[in-house]
Amino acid sequence: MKNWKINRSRRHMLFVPADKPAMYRDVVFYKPDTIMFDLEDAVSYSEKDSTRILLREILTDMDYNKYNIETCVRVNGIDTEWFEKDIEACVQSNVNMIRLPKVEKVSDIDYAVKTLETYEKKYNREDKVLLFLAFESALGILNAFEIAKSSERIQGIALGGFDYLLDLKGDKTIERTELLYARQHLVHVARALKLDVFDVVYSNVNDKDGFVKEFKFVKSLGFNGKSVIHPNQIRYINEILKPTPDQVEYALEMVKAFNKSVEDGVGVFLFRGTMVDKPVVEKQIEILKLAEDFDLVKKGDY
Amino acid sequence: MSDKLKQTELDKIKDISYKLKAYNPQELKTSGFSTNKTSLPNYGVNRSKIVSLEEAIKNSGLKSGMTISFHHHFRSGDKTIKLVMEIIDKLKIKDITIASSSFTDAHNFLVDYIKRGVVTGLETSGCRDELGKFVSSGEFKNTMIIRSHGGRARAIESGDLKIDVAFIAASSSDEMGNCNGVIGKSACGSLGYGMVDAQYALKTIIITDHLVDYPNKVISISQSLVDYVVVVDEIGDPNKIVSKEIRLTSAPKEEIIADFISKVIVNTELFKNGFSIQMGTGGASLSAIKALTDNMIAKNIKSSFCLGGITGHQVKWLEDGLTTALFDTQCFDTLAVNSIANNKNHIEISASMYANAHNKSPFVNKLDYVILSALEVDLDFNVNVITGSDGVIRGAQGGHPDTAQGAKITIVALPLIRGRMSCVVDRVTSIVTPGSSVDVIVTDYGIAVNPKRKDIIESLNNKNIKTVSLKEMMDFAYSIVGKPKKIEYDYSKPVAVVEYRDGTIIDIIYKVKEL
Repeated sequence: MKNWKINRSRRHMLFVPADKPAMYRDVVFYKPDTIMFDLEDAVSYSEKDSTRILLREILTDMDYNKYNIETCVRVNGIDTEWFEKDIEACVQSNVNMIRLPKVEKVSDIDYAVKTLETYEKKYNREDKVLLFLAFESALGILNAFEIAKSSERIQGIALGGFDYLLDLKGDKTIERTELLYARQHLVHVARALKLDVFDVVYSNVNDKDGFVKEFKFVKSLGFNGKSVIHPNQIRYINEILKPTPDQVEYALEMVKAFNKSVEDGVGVFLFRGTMVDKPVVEKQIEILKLAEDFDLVKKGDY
Repeated sequence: MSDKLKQTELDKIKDISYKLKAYNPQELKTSGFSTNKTSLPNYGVNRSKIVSLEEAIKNSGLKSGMTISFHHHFRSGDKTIKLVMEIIDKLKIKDITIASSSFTDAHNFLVDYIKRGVVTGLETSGCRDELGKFVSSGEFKNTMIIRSHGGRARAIESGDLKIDVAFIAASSSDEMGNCNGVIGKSACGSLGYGMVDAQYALKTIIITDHLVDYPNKVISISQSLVDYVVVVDEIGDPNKIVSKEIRLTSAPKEEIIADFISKVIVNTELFKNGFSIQMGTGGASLSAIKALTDNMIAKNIKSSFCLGGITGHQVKWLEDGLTTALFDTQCFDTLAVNSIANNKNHIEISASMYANAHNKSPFVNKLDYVILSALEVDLDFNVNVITGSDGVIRGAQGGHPDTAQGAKITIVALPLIRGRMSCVVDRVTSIVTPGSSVDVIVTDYGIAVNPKRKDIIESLNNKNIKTVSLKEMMDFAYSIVGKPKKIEYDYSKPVAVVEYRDGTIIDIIYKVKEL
């Protein structure tokens, strides 16, 4: 869909191997905010070309935006022989966003944007393909701020846990303490630049408790979403993020009281016996926006 | 004999509707009635009924043109029909009608017998794989009759389906034919379908691979119904009872469907202490059990009974005190088989007790909820479980229409898209269960409630549970996979009739032009 923009916060980005035709159809039912078709690690070298053609054909034919789903493609790294062909295929089809793996330098973004511009011009594409960056190395994490502010196309950043850990020469722990610095650093970068920030995938798809514990933790750090590799993980995220009826009712009342105080020309006001000012109200507006994503309230309700 | 009652005296008594007959020690027939069992040699006074399979068939008087019956409790592991058919073929008996409670992929070999004229009639609740394809191709000369489990019991009891010889695979039997499915190396659990056959067939032959000392400890079918006992090496493979249709899965689409199913159940008024339920064998309905169990524990709710085909999941409920009894016509896995052998509250019932609409009170009529699977549903809530989207026979009625009508809330669960086809369509390929007996349809897209069930709609609305229309579901599916091409049938060749549970014909299945 031309010029389509995601109209809600990104909470989950579902990885889908791009070489599985049936998955292109099934993913719609899982209602991810973003589907990330993977041309990189999920696809063997010998299948890169055929997979790219499959992706181009299906994403030209099928419009996921119609189902309120954003499409993203993880292309092969910019240092690979497939990168430019991947970019060309994405620009040709209905792809909203490209996930760039292993970015480490601002020049990586410059090259990616230049390549995008070339093909957007060639195919007369009206809307610009957006970018989502994956940081998967110590160098990338350290340069993240400069990199993430280098293009207006950049919508969000993500931590790639597997390669990052290899680069660090660290050990994977149950609590993932080895990721703490990178997680906190990326949250700071994202918040400073008003970008989305996504956490690593949780690879044990049968461990709901572990997934929930980890997502609750990274949410407390400031992450707004998580890359997921199994559709069930979308439900787990939704269960955690979905505001309770009490939370929604409280937020609605406070925002209404705030709006009235603005009309009355009052700054700080009293709500249920507590003094409330604007930042407190903004937090409640955030809850209502999230409630909108879950169809619990409509825009006009507050 | 001076003390002999004179027949002339008896003949004077007029207010009794049957003829009274005086006792005569020279005649061992002790009743004025002639039952179909009195033609046994020596008037049924036998000390052993063990014979070979060939002798049993010969002695039963089976001739060309007759009807024989089987049960399908071994599902894909059944070996008995093949054993019997080989002897029938050897004896050059032709033109046989097989009335099995169902056919599975273990019965593909029948195609050859049909081609050679050994088998000319098929009556069943289901037909799959190569046999289904063969029937749908129109090569089967006659018309197959498809009945539900309750409908089959009704047909047998009413005489619509007359069984000349019933062959019953039993995992243990004594020499007189007291038998069951729960003891022995080939235990398959309940013999619910065979019970009806044994009772009404003119001749009943028990086939076992485990002969026990007389008397057998568990009697599911008693010697009073049995003519011959045959001992063979192997009657079936119980490991294949669990067929591919029955599984608990973590497939994400089925998890979504399971979530919707449990939402419907826990948010309707019947979900309270003492509720009753039958769960289908589809992955989604089995997955819904976990959510239901959590809810029952949280709300301290226990169910009164579970019905139908029983799996290990319901056995767990029984063992954990979450249900009081399991009424079982068919064990669906080895956990259920072990349970029925050992737990007195896991009770074997016949197909007639289970679902015969014309007895005084089938158990299905006491159901609060039933969760059923389907191949496709249409905008009028009609359900097809027999033919695939290509028109080929590949499924089974089972207890579908029986439970759908009996239960207070009937939930049909299926994926919205299967393969490249929408499962919600304008009009189902074949109607098996009429939409008037279906209350809720659940797919991975959402929950659709039959507009007639305003009470369910209200219950769900009150709990803020969103429902959608079947049209919305269908349009969504069509937007992804497109509208399917209409199947082309040869309407000059009906290949099967689908009987509703009361014996009326609800649909006709025709030859598919292109297979």
